[in-house]
Amino acid sequence: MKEKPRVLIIEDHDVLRAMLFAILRHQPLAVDTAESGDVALEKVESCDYALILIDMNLANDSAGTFLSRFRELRPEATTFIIAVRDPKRELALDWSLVSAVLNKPLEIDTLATVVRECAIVVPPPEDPLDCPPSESEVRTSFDRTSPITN
Amino acid sequence: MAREKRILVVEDDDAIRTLMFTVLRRHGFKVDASPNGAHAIDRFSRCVYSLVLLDLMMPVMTGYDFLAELEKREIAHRPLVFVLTAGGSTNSLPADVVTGSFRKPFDLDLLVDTISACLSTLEEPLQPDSCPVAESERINGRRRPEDPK
Repeated sequence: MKEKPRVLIIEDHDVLRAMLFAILRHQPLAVDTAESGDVALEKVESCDYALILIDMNLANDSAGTFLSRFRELRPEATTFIIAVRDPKRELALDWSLVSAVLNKPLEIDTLATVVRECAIVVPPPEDPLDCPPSESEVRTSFDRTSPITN
Repeated sequence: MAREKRILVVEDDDAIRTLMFTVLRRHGFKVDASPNGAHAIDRFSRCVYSLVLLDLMMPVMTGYDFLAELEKREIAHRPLVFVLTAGGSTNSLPADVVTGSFRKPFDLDLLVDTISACLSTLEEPLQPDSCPVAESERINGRRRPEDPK
């Protein structure tokens, strides 16, 4: 069976990270999350990602640091990188490190479609890393409230 | 006073407002509904809302005007806002007020799951004494939310 394309969300804001995870796990994707650039670097060393969705407004400019380090660590990677940004905030972006930009506020349906379609077309690595199960496979729900019947 | 995460649906279309209200209520959320921005502002004077689903094109007070009111608040005192849109870009909306947008027709599973995920990361705010019991706790299913009494 063909494996689902693997996607990494890098977002330091708890609410947004949970939101992005909830949106993308509705897609035929294996989804992981990282709350910082450092955590994300650990993940990309052990897993092959078809797509990385990164908030460019991470604290301490760690988004820029992550992107540079990622290219050093995995120069062979064909990973599609989508940067999420607030268009009203100044951003010194090295365009050569990202594949596309999505502006906030995010259109949920557009985001889901773009990530799914882009992740699917990225070719899988020839020599894949031995990666643990994704968060979306391990975590079934986010504290969902029980339905009521009346 | 009780600690409670509450959702406000602000939508002038009776059918969509009722749909949102009913779906969220049946998933166990505490929900109120408003038919326009002015009514929603009045709600905000009495209760603390963790999340707002907001239509933009409404009579009396539009969603844009409502967002402008929210923008006056400190970021820590703003709810999460998801805009409900029938089309058109929402990129011009302030990203520090609007968390995201859903396009009509809605994928209700995605909408509920997204709301659930966001709320799960938030603290339960203390509701003031002036805040009445949530409409979702009172309604008997025979009356549309925020119909004239």
